[in-house]
Amino acid sequence: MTNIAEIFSRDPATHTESDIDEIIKICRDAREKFIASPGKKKGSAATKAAPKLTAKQQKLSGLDLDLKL
Amino acid sequence: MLEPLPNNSVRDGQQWAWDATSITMAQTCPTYYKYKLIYGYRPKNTSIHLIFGQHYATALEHFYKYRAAGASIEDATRRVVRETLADTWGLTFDHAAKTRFSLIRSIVWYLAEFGDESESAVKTHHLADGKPAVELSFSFEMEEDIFLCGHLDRVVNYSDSLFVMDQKTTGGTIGTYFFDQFNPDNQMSQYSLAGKMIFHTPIKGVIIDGAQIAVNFTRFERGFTHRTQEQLDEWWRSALNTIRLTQHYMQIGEFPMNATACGNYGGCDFRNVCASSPRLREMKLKSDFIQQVWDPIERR
Repeated sequence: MTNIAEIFSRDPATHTESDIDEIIKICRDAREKFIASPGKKKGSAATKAAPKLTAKQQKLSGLDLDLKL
Repeated sequence: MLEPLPNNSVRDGQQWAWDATSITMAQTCPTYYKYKLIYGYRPKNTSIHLIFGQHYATALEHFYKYRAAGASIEDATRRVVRETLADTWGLTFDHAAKTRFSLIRSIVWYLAEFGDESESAVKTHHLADGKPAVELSFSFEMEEDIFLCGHLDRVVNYSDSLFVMDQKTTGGTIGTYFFDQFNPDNQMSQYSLAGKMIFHTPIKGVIIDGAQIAVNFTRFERGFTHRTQEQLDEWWRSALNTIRLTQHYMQIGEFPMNATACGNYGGCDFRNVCASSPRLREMKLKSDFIQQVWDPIERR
């Protein structure tokens, strides 16, 4: 198993494609664990798509208001 | 004797090219504006929050640029990770949560969450010539010899409307109060105004992707800040008044202190300078600060 600290401690000029892929994989794995952790499940604020605005929200967006829709 | 730092946006002793940052400097405190823009002083140690935020925003901006040029999500991700590692090599991240690793993690997590536009309601807007609306520079005349300049990283379509997209990082939990700070806000008003000027069509406002940077995770929240045409008109008048007043200060060579701003955001960088006797200030500036020009025309 690669030690990510070792990759980070190296001059980036020496990084191979597999080093970069390893870093990305470790980060993505950590995200999956974070999402799966208690109180942090898919569908919460940290997941992908922003919802479509409803008709009412569309009207509100034109008003002089700041809303987190 | 302090010497003004050469700046392309200053001609014949007057700033002619303005951006939201320099307007904010002038509104914050004329003395702050003098030290920061005219003399170009900044603390020797750049804030870690600034460094982190700049590298984070640059990586995401480049990701969308590479995607627009045809790179796959995987390739674009690899490129920005590699670039960010190279750009941050040798930098000191003297902070518990904002580290070189958490910067890379935050970029990868953001792209995992928002990078695939096919699954998102937010999509990069395309200009009439088919080019993606990324890295757009703008400049327009507010009145004779006063230009407003700036750059939009990305303009997106969301729910059949156009929005400017921006990213912000914070150490705290992101809630309503986090997004409240962007209205009123010069940068967001300028973005909304510029979007309208560039596209000749209403821009609803700015979508702000906030990222909470913690030691072991990065959490994202997407928020909106809207501007009505009346608000933009008001901002325009207010900005012009600030600029005219600042030009007056430059003409007379006097930059009054706004002592009510000294404690803002944990304390002004120049607080110790202003707190000292006037004859000692030059020495303090030269010993505790470095000079680096802030030029609104320059692409960052």
